[in-house]
Amino acid sequence: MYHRLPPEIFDDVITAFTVWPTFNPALGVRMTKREIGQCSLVCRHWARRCRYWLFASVIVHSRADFDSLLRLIDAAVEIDGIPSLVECIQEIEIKHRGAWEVPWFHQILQHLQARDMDIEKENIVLEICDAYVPDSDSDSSSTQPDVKSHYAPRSLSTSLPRTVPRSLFSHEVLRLSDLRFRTVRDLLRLIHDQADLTFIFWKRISFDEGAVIPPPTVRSRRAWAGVETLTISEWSDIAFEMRVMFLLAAEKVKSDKVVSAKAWTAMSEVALALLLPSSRQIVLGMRGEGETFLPMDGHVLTP
Amino acid sequence: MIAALGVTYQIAELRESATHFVEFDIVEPTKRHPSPHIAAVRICVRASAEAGELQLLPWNALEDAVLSLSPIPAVELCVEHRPGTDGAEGIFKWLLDAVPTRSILERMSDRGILDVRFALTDRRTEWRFCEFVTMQEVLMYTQEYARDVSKPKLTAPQVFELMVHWKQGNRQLSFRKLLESL
Repeated sequence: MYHRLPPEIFDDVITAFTVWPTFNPALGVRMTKREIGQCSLVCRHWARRCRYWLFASVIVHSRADFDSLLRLIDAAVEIDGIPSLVECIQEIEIKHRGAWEVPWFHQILQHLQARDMDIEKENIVLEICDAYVPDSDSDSSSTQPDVKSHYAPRSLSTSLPRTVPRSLFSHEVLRLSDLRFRTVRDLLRLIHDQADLTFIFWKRISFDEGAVIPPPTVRSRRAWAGVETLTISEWSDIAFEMRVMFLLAAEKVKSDKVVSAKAWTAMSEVALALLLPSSRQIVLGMRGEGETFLPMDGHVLTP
Repeated sequence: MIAALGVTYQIAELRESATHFVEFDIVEPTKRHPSPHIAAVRICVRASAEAGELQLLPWNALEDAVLSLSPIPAVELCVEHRPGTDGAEGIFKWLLDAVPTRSILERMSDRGILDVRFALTDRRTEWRFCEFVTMQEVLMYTQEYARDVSKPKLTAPQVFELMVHWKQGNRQLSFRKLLESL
Protein backbone atom coordinates (compact mmCIF):
# COMPACT_ATOMS: atom_id res chain seq x y z
CA MET A 1 0.00 0.00 0.00
CA TYR A 2 2.72 2.42 1.03
CA HIS A 3 4.67 1.84 -2.17
CA ARG A 4 1.64 2.38 -4.39
CA LEU A 5 0.34 5.54 -2.69
CA PRO A 6 2.66 8.57 -2.68
CA PRO A 7 3.22 9.71 0.93
CA GLU A 8 2.17 13.30 0.25
CA ILE A 9 -1.19 12.08 -1.09
CA PHE A 10 -1.73 10.05 2.06
CA ASP A 11 -0.79 13.11 4.14
CA ASP A 12 -3.37 15.19 2.30
CA VAL A 13 -6.05 12.55 2.77
CA ILE A 14 -5.42 12.09 6.48
CA THR A 15 -5.36 15.88 6.96
CA ALA A 16 -8.64 16.27 5.09
CA PHE A 17 -10.30 13.73 7.37
CA THR A 18 -8.89 15.07 10.61
CA VAL A 19 -8.22 18.81 10.53
CA TRP A 20 -10.80 20.60 8.39
CA PRO A 21 -13.98 18.90 9.55
CA THR A 22 -13.06 19.93 13.09
CA PHE A 23 -13.61 23.54 12.13
CA ASN A 24 -16.36 22.98 9.62
CA PRO A 25 -18.25 19.67 9.63
CA ALA A 26 -19.82 20.70 6.32
CA LEU A 27 -16.46 20.16 4.68
CA GLY A 28 -16.48 16.45 5.22
CA VAL A 29 -16.54 13.55 7.60
CA ARG A 30 -14.19 13.55 10.53
CA MET A 31 -12.44 10.30 11.29
CA THR A 32 -12.82 8.98 14.79
CA LYS A 33 -9.78 8.24 16.90
CA ARG A 34 -10.51 4.54 16.50
CA GLU A 35 -10.47 4.88 12.71
CA ILE A 36 -7.22 6.84 12.79
CA GLY A 37 -5.83 4.14 15.08
CA GLN A 38 -6.79 1.46 12.55
CA CYS A 39 -5.08 3.41 9.77
CA SER A 40 -1.96 3.61 11.90
CA LEU A 41 -1.76 -0.22 11.93
CA VAL A 42 -1.31 -0.43 8.14
CA CYS A 43 2.42 0.21 8.02
CA ARG A 44 5.17 2.19 9.69
CA HIS A 45 4.73 5.15 7.36
CA TRP A 46 1.01 5.38 8.04
CA ALA A 47 1.65 4.98 11.76
CA ARG A 48 4.08 7.87 11.64
CA ARG A 49 1.53 10.10 9.90
CA CYS A 50 -1.47 9.03 11.99
CA ARG A 51 0.18 9.28 15.36
CA TYR A 52 0.11 13.06 15.39
CA TRP A 53 -3.63 13.18 14.70
CA LEU A 54 -4.29 10.37 17.12
CA PHE A 55 -2.81 12.29 20.01
CA ALA A 56 -3.06 15.92 18.83
CA SER A 57 -6.17 16.44 20.92
CA VAL A 58 -6.68 14.52 24.14
CA ILE A 59 -9.86 14.45 26.20
CA VAL A 60 -9.52 13.87 29.93
CA HIS A 61 -12.58 13.10 32.03
CA SER A 62 -11.07 12.83 35.49
CA ARG A 63 -7.94 13.08 37.55
CA ALA A 64 -7.47 9.32 36.99
CA ASP A 65 -7.58 9.92 33.22
CA PHE A 66 -5.00 12.67 33.52
CA ASP A 67 -2.75 10.45 35.62
CA SER A 68 -3.07 7.70 32.99
CA LEU A 69 -2.07 10.15 30.31
CA LEU A 70 0.96 11.22 32.32
CA ARG A 71 1.94 7.57 32.87
CA LEU A 72 1.57 6.91 29.14
CA ILE A 73 3.83 9.85 28.35
CA ASP A 74 6.38 8.77 30.93
CA ALA A 75 6.39 5.13 29.78
CA ALA A 76 6.55 5.82 26.05
CA VAL A 77 9.68 4.46 24.42
CA GLU A 78 11.23 6.56 21.67
CA ILE A 79 11.00 4.92 18.26
CA ASP A 80 13.14 6.22 15.46
CA GLY A 81 11.09 8.20 12.95
CA ILE A 82 7.90 8.19 15.03
CA PRO A 83 7.03 11.46 16.79
CA SER A 84 6.95 11.18 20.57
CA LEU A 85 3.74 11.72 22.51
CA VAL A 86 5.09 14.95 23.91
CA GLU A 87 5.51 16.22 20.35
CA CYS A 88 2.06 15.06 19.29
CA ILE A 89 -0.17 16.39 22.07
CA GLN A 90 -1.26 19.90 21.12
CA GLU A 91 -4.56 20.27 22.92
CA ILE A 92 -5.96 18.98 26.18
CA GLU A 93 -9.65 19.12 26.88
CA ILE A 94 -10.77 18.45 30.41
CA LYS A 95 -14.40 17.44 30.67
CA HIS A 96 -15.91 17.47 34.11
CA ARG A 97 -19.34 16.01 34.69
CA GLY A 98 -21.17 15.10 37.87
CA ALA A 99 -20.21 15.71 41.49
CA TRP A 100 -17.53 18.34 42.09
CA GLU A 101 -14.67 16.69 43.86
CA VAL A 102 -11.24 17.68 45.04
CA PRO A 103 -9.95 20.22 42.52
CA TRP A 104 -6.90 19.28 40.51
CA PHE A 105 -7.06 21.51 37.43
CA HIS A 106 -4.44 23.83 38.91
CA GLN A 107 -1.88 21.02 38.61
CA ILE A 108 -2.21 20.55 34.85
CA LEU A 109 0.30 23.13 33.72
CA GLN A 110 2.80 22.08 36.37
CA HIS A 111 2.67 18.43 35.28
CA LEU A 112 2.91 19.25 31.60
CA GLN A 113 5.81 21.62 32.03
CA ALA A 114 7.64 19.01 34.09
CA ARG A 115 7.53 16.82 30.96
CA ASP A 116 8.71 19.60 28.64
CA MET A 117 5.28 19.88 27.12
CA ASP A 118 4.66 23.41 25.99
CA ILE A 119 0.94 23.48 25.26
CA GLU A 120 -0.46 26.90 24.49
CA LYS A 121 -2.92 28.04 27.13
CA GLU A 122 -5.54 28.54 24.43
CA ASN A 123 -5.29 24.82 23.76
CA ILE A 124 -6.21 23.85 27.29
CA VAL A 125 -9.99 23.62 27.47
CA LEU A 126 -12.07 23.12 30.59
CA GLU A 127 -15.61 21.92 30.04
CA ILE A 128 -17.96 21.78 33.00
CA CYS A 129 -21.14 19.96 32.14
CA ASP A 130 -23.98 19.04 34.49
CA ALA A 131 -21.66 19.42 37.48
CA TYR A 132 -22.78 20.08 41.01
CA VAL A 133 -21.28 20.55 44.43
CA PRO A 134 -22.60 17.80 46.74
CA ASP A 135 -24.27 19.05 49.86
CA SER A 136 -22.00 18.36 52.82
CA ASP A 137 -25.06 17.64 54.98
CA SER A 138 -26.51 15.01 52.69
CA ASP A 139 -25.94 11.32 53.15
CA SER A 140 -22.63 10.49 51.49
CA SER A 141 -23.70 6.88 50.90
CA SER A 142 -26.54 8.00 48.66
CA THR A 143 -25.84 7.61 44.96
CA GLN A 144 -28.44 10.19 43.97
CA PRO A 145 -27.47 13.86 44.40
CA ASP A 146 -29.69 16.02 46.54
CA VAL A 147 -31.64 17.93 43.92
CA LYS A 148 -32.21 20.85 46.28
CA SER A 149 -28.49 21.56 46.42
CA HIS A 150 -27.70 20.55 42.87
CA TYR A 151 -25.81 23.79 42.17
CA ALA A 152 -22.86 24.30 39.90
CA PRO A 153 -19.53 25.12 41.57
CA ARG A 154 -18.92 28.80 42.15
CA SER A 155 -15.18 28.43 42.06
CA LEU A 156 -12.58 26.01 40.76
CA SER A 157 -10.57 26.46 43.90
CA THR A 158 -13.17 25.23 46.36
CA SER A 159 -11.36 23.12 48.98
CA LEU A 160 -7.98 24.53 47.99
CA PRO A 161 -5.86 26.66 50.32
CA ARG A 162 -6.42 30.37 49.81
CA THR A 163 -2.72 30.72 49.11
CA VAL A 164 -3.02 28.88 45.78
CA PRO A 165 -2.65 31.61 43.14
CA ARG A 166 -5.30 31.88 40.44
CA SER A 167 -2.57 32.00 37.82
CA LEU A 168 -2.18 28.24 38.25
CA PHE A 169 -5.47 27.75 36.43
CA SER A 170 -3.90 27.77 33.05
CA HIS A 171 -6.74 27.20 30.61
CA GLU A 172 -7.96 29.91 28.27
CA VAL A 173 -11.12 28.18 27.09
CA LEU A 174 -14.11 27.50 29.35
CA ARG A 175 -17.23 25.65 28.22
CA LEU A 176 -20.23 25.54 30.53
CA SER A 177 -23.37 23.53 29.86
CA ASP A 178 -26.36 22.12 31.72
CA LEU A 179 -25.53 24.00 34.89
CA ARG A 180 -27.79 25.34 37.56
CA PHE A 181 -26.72 28.40 39.53
CA ARG A 182 -28.43 30.00 42.45
CA THR A 183 -27.74 33.53 41.21
CA VAL A 184 -26.09 35.34 38.31
CA ARG A 185 -23.35 36.42 40.68
CA ASP A 186 -22.43 32.75 41.20
CA LEU A 187 -21.83 32.31 37.46
CA LEU A 188 -19.80 35.51 37.33
CA ARG A 189 -17.75 34.39 40.29
CA LEU A 190 -16.92 31.10 38.60
CA ILE A 191 -15.80 32.94 35.46
CA HIS A 192 -13.84 35.65 37.24
CA ASP A 193 -12.12 32.95 39.26
CA GLN A 194 -10.28 31.79 36.13
CA ALA A 195 -7.70 34.41 35.41
CA ASP A 196 -6.60 33.52 31.89
CA LEU A 197 -9.90 32.92 30.15
CA THR A 198 -10.03 34.04 26.53
CA PHE A 199 -13.00 32.12 25.15
CA ILE A 200 -16.08 31.48 27.26
CA PHE A 201 -19.01 29.40 26.01
CA TRP A 202 -22.22 28.60 27.78
CA LYS A 203 -25.43 26.82 26.95
CA ARG A 204 -28.39 25.49 28.87
CA ILE A 205 -27.71 27.27 32.15
CA SER A 206 -30.34 28.31 34.66
CA PHE A 207 -30.63 30.50 37.72
CA ASP A 208 -32.86 29.58 40.64
CA GLU A 209 -33.36 33.15 41.75
CA GLY A 210 -34.75 34.09 38.36
CA ALA A 211 -33.93 36.95 36.05
CA VAL A 212 -32.26 39.20 38.59
CA ILE A 213 -29.34 41.20 37.24
CA PRO A 214 -26.96 42.39 39.95
CA PRO A 215 -25.27 45.79 39.64
CA PRO A 216 -21.91 45.59 37.82
CA THR A 217 -18.74 45.51 39.85
CA VAL A 218 -15.90 47.30 38.11
CA ARG A 219 -12.72 45.24 38.22
CA SER A 220 -9.52 46.96 37.29
CA ARG A 221 -7.53 43.72 37.56
CA ARG A 222 -7.73 40.89 35.04
CA ALA A 223 -9.40 43.09 32.46
CA TRP A 224 -9.98 41.82 28.96
CA ALA A 225 -6.89 42.18 26.86
CA GLY A 226 -8.45 42.39 23.45
CA VAL A 227 -9.57 39.39 21.51
CA GLU A 228 -11.63 37.51 24.04
CA THR A 229 -15.12 36.36 23.17
CA LEU A 230 -18.15 35.12 25.01
CA THR A 231 -20.43 32.73 23.12
CA ILE A 232 -23.90 31.56 24.09
CA SER A 233 -26.27 29.09 22.49
CA GLU A 234 -29.29 26.99 23.46
CA TRP A 235 -30.55 29.73 25.75
CA SER A 236 -33.75 29.47 27.75
CA ASP A 237 -34.34 33.20 28.25
CA ILE A 238 -32.35 35.14 25.69
CA ALA A 239 -33.35 38.59 26.98
CA PHE A 240 -31.97 37.72 30.39
CA GLU A 241 -28.87 35.90 29.15
CA MET A 242 -28.06 38.80 26.83
CA ARG A 243 -28.11 41.11 29.88
CA VAL A 244 -25.82 38.69 31.71
CA MET A 245 -23.41 38.69 28.74
CA PHE A 246 -23.21 42.47 28.78
CA LEU A 247 -22.90 42.50 32.56
CA LEU A 248 -19.93 40.18 32.25
CA ALA A 249 -18.44 42.48 29.61
CA ALA A 250 -19.03 45.49 31.87
CA GLU A 251 -17.12 43.75 34.63
CA LYS A 252 -14.29 42.64 32.39
CA VAL A 253 -13.41 45.84 30.55
CA LYS A 254 -10.72 48.13 31.85
CA SER A 255 -11.97 50.92 34.06
CA ASP A 256 -11.15 53.61 31.47
CA LYS A 257 -13.56 51.96 29.03
CA VAL A 258 -16.52 51.63 31.34
CA VAL A 259 -19.59 53.42 30.08
CA SER A 260 -22.63 54.19 32.22
CA ALA A 261 -24.88 51.38 33.49
CA LYS A 262 -27.63 52.81 31.29
CA ALA A 263 -25.40 52.45 28.23
CA TRP A 264 -24.72 48.79 29.01
CA THR A 265 -28.45 48.17 29.30
CA ALA A 266 -29.09 50.01 26.02
CA MET A 267 -26.40 47.97 24.25
CA SER A 268 -27.95 44.72 25.43
CA GLU A 269 -31.37 45.94 24.24
CA VAL A 270 -29.97 46.82 20.81
CA ALA A 271 -28.32 43.42 20.62
CA LEU A 272 -31.56 41.73 21.67
CA ALA A 273 -33.62 43.66 19.11
CA LEU A 274 -31.32 42.39 16.36
CA LEU A 275 -31.77 38.74 17.24
CA LEU A 276 -33.35 36.83 14.36
CA PRO A 277 -35.65 33.85 14.94
CA SER A 278 -33.06 31.74 13.11
CA SER A 279 -30.15 32.87 15.34
CA ARG A 280 -28.71 29.92 17.19
CA GLN A 281 -25.47 31.31 18.56
CA ILE A 282 -24.37 34.76 19.70
CA VAL A 283 -20.77 35.87 20.10
CA LEU A 284 -19.86 38.93 22.14
CA GLY A 285 -16.35 40.32 21.82
CA MET A 286 -14.37 43.40 22.61
CA ARG A 287 -11.39 45.03 20.99
CA GLY A 288 -9.26 47.99 21.95
CA GLU A 289 -8.16 50.83 19.71
CA GLY A 290 -6.19 49.59 16.73
CA GLU A 291 -6.96 45.96 17.52
CA THR A 292 -9.10 43.69 15.44
CA PHE A 293 -11.95 41.76 16.90
CA LEU A 294 -12.10 38.27 15.52
CA PRO A 295 -15.34 36.53 16.35
CA MET A 296 -15.75 32.81 15.88
CA ASP A 297 -16.66 33.08 12.23
CA GLY A 298 -13.39 34.76 11.33
CA HIS A 299 -14.97 38.01 10.17
CA VAL A 300 -12.73 40.90 11.10
CA LEU A 301 -14.44 44.00 12.37
CA THR A 302 -12.34 46.99 11.42
CA PRO A 303 -12.44 50.48 12.87
CA MET B 1 -12.31 55.35 19.75
CA ILE B 2 -10.85 53.51 22.72
CA ALA B 3 -12.70 50.23 22.37
CA ALA B 4 -15.43 48.50 20.43
CA LEU B 5 -17.86 45.91 21.62
CA GLY B 6 -19.29 43.60 18.98
CA VAL B 7 -22.05 41.02 18.87
CA THR B 8 -22.16 38.48 16.03
CA TYR B 9 -25.25 36.41 15.26
CA GLN B 10 -24.88 32.93 13.82
CA ILE B 11 -27.47 30.48 12.55
CA ALA B 12 -25.28 27.53 13.49
CA GLU B 13 -22.05 26.85 15.32
CA LEU B 14 -20.12 27.06 12.08
CA ARG B 15 -17.67 29.78 11.23
CA GLU B 16 -19.46 30.80 8.05
CA SER B 17 -22.89 30.97 9.62
CA ALA B 18 -22.84 34.61 10.80
CA THR B 19 -25.79 36.51 9.37
CA HIS B 20 -25.12 39.93 10.86
CA PHE B 21 -23.34 41.75 13.64
CA VAL B 22 -23.55 44.95 15.62
CA GLU B 23 -20.62 46.93 16.93
CA PHE B 24 -20.59 49.73 19.50
CA ASP B 25 -17.75 52.26 19.42
CA ILE B 26 -16.74 53.47 22.86
CA VAL B 27 -14.89 56.80 22.80
CA GLU B 28 -12.90 58.82 25.28
CA PRO B 29 -14.52 61.46 27.47
CA THR B 30 -14.84 64.92 25.99
CA LYS B 31 -15.47 68.33 27.54
CA ARG B 32 -19.14 67.92 26.80
CA HIS B 33 -19.35 64.30 27.94
CA PRO B 34 -17.00 63.71 30.86
CA SER B 35 -17.11 59.90 30.81
CA PRO B 36 -16.50 57.25 28.12
CA HIS B 37 -19.56 56.94 25.91
CA ILE B 38 -20.86 55.25 22.78
CA ALA B 39 -20.26 57.38 19.70
CA ALA B 40 -21.43 55.02 16.99
CA VAL B 41 -23.48 51.88 16.47
CA ARG B 42 -22.69 49.87 13.35
CA ILE B 43 -25.05 47.17 12.17
CA CYS B 44 -23.80 45.00 9.31
CA VAL B 45 -26.09 42.56 7.55
CA ARG B 46 -24.83 39.82 5.27
CA ALA B 47 -26.48 38.22 2.30
CA SER B 48 -27.10 35.07 4.34
CA ALA B 49 -29.61 36.90 6.54
CA GLU B 50 -33.21 36.14 5.63
CA ALA B 51 -34.85 39.31 4.30
CA GLY B 52 -38.20 38.16 5.67
CA GLU B 53 -36.77 37.80 9.15
CA LEU B 54 -35.11 41.21 9.00
CA GLN B 55 -38.41 42.80 8.08
CA LEU B 56 -39.95 41.39 11.24
CA LEU B 57 -37.25 42.66 13.60
CA PRO B 58 -38.50 44.92 16.40
CA TRP B 59 -37.07 48.05 14.77
CA ASN B 60 -38.97 50.25 17.23
CA ALA B 61 -37.28 48.57 20.19
CA LEU B 62 -33.93 49.07 18.46
CA GLU B 63 -34.68 52.76 18.03
CA ASP B 64 -35.85 53.09 21.63
CA ALA B 65 -32.60 51.57 22.88
CA VAL B 66 -30.35 53.70 20.67
CA LEU B 67 -32.24 56.91 21.41
CA SER B 68 -32.05 56.21 25.16
CA LEU B 69 -28.27 56.64 24.98
CA SER B 70 -26.72 59.92 25.95
CA PRO B 71 -25.22 61.33 23.81
CA ILE B 72 -27.19 59.77 20.96
CA PRO B 73 -24.74 57.90 18.74
CA ALA B 74 -24.53 57.81 14.96
CA VAL B 75 -26.02 54.64 13.49
CA GLU B 76 -24.71 52.91 10.40
CA LEU B 77 -26.76 50.16 8.81
CA CYS B 78 -24.64 48.42 6.22
CA VAL B 79 -25.62 45.56 3.92
CA GLU B 80 -22.58 43.61 2.83
CA HIS B 81 -22.40 42.04 -0.59
CA ARG B 82 -19.91 39.27 -1.26
CA PRO B 83 -19.10 37.75 -4.63
CA GLY B 84 -21.01 34.59 -5.36
CA THR B 85 -23.82 35.38 -2.95
CA ASP B 86 -27.19 36.85 -3.65
CA GLY B 87 -29.68 38.28 -1.26
CA ALA B 88 -27.80 41.39 -0.19
CA GLU B 89 -29.26 43.47 -3.02
CA GLY B 90 -32.78 42.36 -2.10
CA ILE B 91 -32.22 43.39 1.52
CA PHE B 92 -30.90 46.81 0.50
CA LYS B 93 -33.80 47.34 -1.92
CA TRP B 94 -36.21 46.60 0.90
CA LEU B 95 -34.41 49.19 3.04
CA LEU B 96 -34.60 51.64 0.13
CA ASP B 97 -38.32 51.34 0.37
CA ALA B 98 -38.84 50.92 4.12
CA VAL B 99 -36.65 53.78 5.40
CA PRO B 100 -37.76 56.63 3.08
CA THR B 101 -41.42 55.63 3.46
CA ARG B 102 -40.91 55.78 7.25
CA SER B 103 -41.95 52.18 7.82
CA ILE B 104 -38.85 51.62 9.98
CA LEU B 105 -36.27 53.75 11.77
CA GLU B 106 -38.34 56.88 11.33
CA ARG B 107 -37.05 58.69 14.43
CA MET B 108 -33.42 58.00 13.61
CA SER B 109 -33.92 59.31 10.06
CA ASP B 110 -35.61 62.45 11.39
CA ARG B 111 -32.67 63.11 13.71
CA GLY B 112 -30.22 62.69 10.87
CA ILE B 113 -28.17 60.04 12.69
CA LEU B 114 -28.88 57.15 10.32
CA ASP B 115 -26.61 56.15 7.47
CA VAL B 116 -27.76 53.22 5.34
CA ARG B 117 -25.23 51.82 2.90
CA PHE B 118 -24.43 48.91 0.63
CA ALA B 119 -20.87 47.61 0.74
CA LEU B 120 -19.15 46.05 -2.25
CA THR B 121 -16.06 43.90 -2.03
CA ASP B 122 -12.81 44.62 -3.74
CA ARG B 123 -12.75 42.56 -6.95
CA ARG B 124 -9.16 41.54 -6.39
CA THR B 125 -9.22 40.54 -2.73
CA GLU B 126 -12.91 39.56 -2.67
CA TRP B 127 -13.19 40.21 1.03
CA ARG B 128 -12.28 43.83 1.67
CA PHE B 129 -15.11 46.29 1.32
CA CYS B 130 -13.83 49.14 -0.80
CA GLU B 131 -16.89 50.63 -2.50
CA PHE B 132 -20.11 51.81 -0.94
CA VAL B 133 -23.45 52.90 -2.30
CA THR B 134 -25.30 54.98 0.27
CA MET B 135 -29.04 55.40 0.47
CA GLN B 136 -28.55 59.14 0.42
CA GLU B 137 -26.68 58.88 -2.88
CA VAL B 138 -29.40 56.74 -4.40
CA LEU B 139 -32.21 59.03 -3.31
CA MET B 140 -30.40 62.21 -4.32
CA TYR B 141 -29.47 60.92 -7.73
CA THR B 142 -31.34 62.45 -10.56
CA GLN B 143 -33.95 59.95 -11.63
CA GLU B 144 -34.99 61.29 -15.01
CA TYR B 145 -33.10 60.43 -18.14
CA ALA B 146 -33.68 61.70 -21.67
CA ARG B 147 -34.34 58.78 -23.95
CA ASP B 148 -35.30 59.88 -27.45
CA VAL B 149 -38.17 62.24 -26.73
CA SER B 150 -39.39 60.63 -23.53
CA LYS B 151 -37.96 61.08 -20.06
CA PRO B 152 -38.27 57.77 -18.21
CA LYS B 153 -38.08 57.97 -14.46
CA LEU B 154 -35.93 55.47 -12.60
CA THR B 155 -37.11 54.05 -9.33
CA ALA B 156 -34.79 53.97 -6.33
CA PRO B 157 -34.02 50.23 -6.78
CA GLN B 158 -33.17 50.89 -10.45
CA VAL B 159 -30.87 53.76 -9.53
CA PHE B 160 -29.28 51.50 -6.93
CA GLU B 161 -28.69 48.75 -9.49
CA LEU B 162 -27.18 51.27 -11.83
CA MET B 163 -24.85 52.60 -9.14
CA VAL B 164 -23.75 49.11 -8.19
CA HIS B 165 -22.82 48.44 -11.82
CA TRP B 166 -21.03 51.78 -12.04
CA LYS B 167 -19.01 51.07 -8.93
CA GLN B 168 -18.13 47.72 -10.45
CA GLY B 169 -16.94 49.41 -13.64
CA ASN B 170 -19.85 48.51 -15.99
CA ARG B 171 -20.98 52.10 -16.46
CA GLN B 172 -22.07 52.38 -20.12
CA LEU B 173 -23.21 48.83 -20.63
CA SER B 174 -25.47 48.69 -17.59
CA PHE B 175 -26.99 52.12 -18.25
CA ARG B 176 -27.90 51.20 -21.83
CA LYS B 177 -29.28 47.87 -20.68
CA LEU B 178 -31.41 49.53 -18.02
CA LEU B 179 -32.84 52.18 -20.37
CA GLU B 180 -33.63 49.50 -22.92
CA SER B 181 -35.59 47.60 -20.33
CA LEU B 182 -37.81 50.56 -19.55
